[in-house]
Amino acid sequence: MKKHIRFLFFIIFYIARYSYAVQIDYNGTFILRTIKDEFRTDSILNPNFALVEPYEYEYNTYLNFLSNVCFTESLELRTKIRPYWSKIENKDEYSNKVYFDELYLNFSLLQNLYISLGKQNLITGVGLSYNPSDFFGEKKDVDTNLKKEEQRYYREGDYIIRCELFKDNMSFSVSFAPKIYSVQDLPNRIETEVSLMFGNTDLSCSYFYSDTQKVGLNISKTIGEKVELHCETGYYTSVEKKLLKIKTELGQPNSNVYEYEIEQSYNQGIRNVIGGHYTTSNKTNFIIEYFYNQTGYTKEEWEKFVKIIESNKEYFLSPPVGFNQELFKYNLYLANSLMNYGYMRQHYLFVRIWNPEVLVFDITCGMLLNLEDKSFVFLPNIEYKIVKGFFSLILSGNFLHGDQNSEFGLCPVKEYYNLELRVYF
Amino acid sequence: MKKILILIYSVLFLYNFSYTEDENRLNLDEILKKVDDIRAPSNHFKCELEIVCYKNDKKTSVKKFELYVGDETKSLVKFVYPYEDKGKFLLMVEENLWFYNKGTKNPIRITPQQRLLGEVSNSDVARVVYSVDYTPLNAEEVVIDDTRMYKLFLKAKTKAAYDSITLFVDKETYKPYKVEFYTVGGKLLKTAYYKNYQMILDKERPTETEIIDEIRKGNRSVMKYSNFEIKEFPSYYFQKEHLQYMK
Repeated sequence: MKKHIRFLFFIIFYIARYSYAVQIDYNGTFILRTIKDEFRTDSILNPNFALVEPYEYEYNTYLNFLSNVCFTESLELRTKIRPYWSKIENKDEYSNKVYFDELYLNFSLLQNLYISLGKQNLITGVGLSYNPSDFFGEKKDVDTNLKKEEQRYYREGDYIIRCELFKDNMSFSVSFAPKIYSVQDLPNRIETEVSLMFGNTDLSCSYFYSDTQKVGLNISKTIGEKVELHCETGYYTSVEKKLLKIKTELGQPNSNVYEYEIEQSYNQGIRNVIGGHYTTSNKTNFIIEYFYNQTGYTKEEWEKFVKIIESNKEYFLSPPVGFNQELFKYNLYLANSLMNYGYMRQHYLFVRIWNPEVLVFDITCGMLLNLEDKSFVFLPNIEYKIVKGFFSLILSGNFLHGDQNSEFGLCPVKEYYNLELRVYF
Repeated sequence: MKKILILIYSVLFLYNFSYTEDENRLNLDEILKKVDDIRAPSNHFKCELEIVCYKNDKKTSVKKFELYVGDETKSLVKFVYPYEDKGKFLLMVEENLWFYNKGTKNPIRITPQQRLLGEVSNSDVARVVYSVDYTPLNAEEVVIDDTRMYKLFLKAKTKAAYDSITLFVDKETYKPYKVEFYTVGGKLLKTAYYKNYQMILDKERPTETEIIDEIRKGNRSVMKYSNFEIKEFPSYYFQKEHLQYMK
């Protein structure tokens, strides 16, 4: 990995040496964050804190540094580097890493043809709460402490060769992410996308080909002065679905003590986000989105999943004769590894109210609601600009609410609060 | 015979009346065109813009932009200052608006009502001519500060930022003096004054627009234009997908 980055830098400096003018432009954010977590004492997925050890405070520091180096009118280098440092209270170890989210060369061959080469974080989709057509970004790790729109921004890119051609009112792009031994282990991925405007409607259609095929569609338009409507759809020919399955029955026959394993199945499916944005004359913004996830757990699958967790929790707390806790702890670990809060079920609603000028504050209140079990996450965010455009203080929280056997009620963390200082430069 | 004469007179009268209406309309359009020619040096140009906001005469914020105008209906606003806004763009094509942040790499559609610039509306910045969005209905002559002026009543064509506006124009020079912006209900929202005329690209043009908020008294913004440069941009420059390649 380091070898590749060194090679990229070598190319960059070689180009810089022979460029007649180098213009450097940069900007970024320095973020200092403290997170206070509150864990559930009654979590069936984390009985007696066996799986996740509770802690109260977490400290993060990171720098988000973007730069553009223009060698010539048609050749530039773009970088986005994110050094990150994190520490959890009462633990000696801390983690620090430098993420090269982006590092790529961009050049225009003809006036309307652009080619880029290097590590890029491609972001697609008009949805806010979820992006079913963001195929390159699927399964990437995100920082859930950030606002939804920021989560896609602070993530590592892929090594991509991309070509984009512009014509009147339309553009056509091809992006290819090859499999690179020990650097990019995912199979070869290629995406083609056509974007155009039909009257006052934005339309884009993409086709993604890898070990599976996917088709994405994005539509957005404004109606009048105050309303924006959008729709984002992803069709997948093969989506991985993971369920818990009995591996072996242990002990005597009909003992009802099982070791579980993860069963993977592949099905075609559709994911769809449809929503709108309404702005009042006093600058209050209302956003509502409905998210349909055809490949999520059905009611029966979810009930079976929860039943497995409940029985293993009971056995973990009082193991049957001849068994120790480890087996049940392992089964609970498996269940925990399948949890991806927000997208496990099929029907969700996301609502957000935002006003950037409430006295001296920028206030946002969001909520992600699971329409099937009525569990929800409440996401308030208050921003105070200490010096407008330069320093901000942000207080935000995630409050997860629901029954013990609901999606958000299963989460080992009950609520967390963030206090963040941002310095822009 | 008398009836025929009356009929002929009536036809002539109506013809004369309609001609006057057309001529009048032509004149109003011409006046508006002359005003637009003063405000915008060309159909395609680049300039710098600084917006200073005040509350009770106390400076509350300063923002700086680069403005690229492709033709009368296409414009691109690049956010330059403060640091928090660097890398942000506002694209306006006809009545469609997109907001782009270099980091998020994904242009999002916004409604004209979504104001990104404080007291100043998106279209106050992105639109530099009136004739694209408004139709002149009628005009009257007024005298302000001993200067004879046209008072033009303009109505929004479709989805303009304001339902109607009243524009005060110097009768001799066609220099815009002030403009009043109204809601559908006829409520006065803002008044803007064109100030600090300077010789720019062969014509005297206003380099400052002071916008006074008539609802929230004490709030005002001053838009300062500078470094005008006539420049042609390819059409794809104003496509939302192209925003990611903007430097």
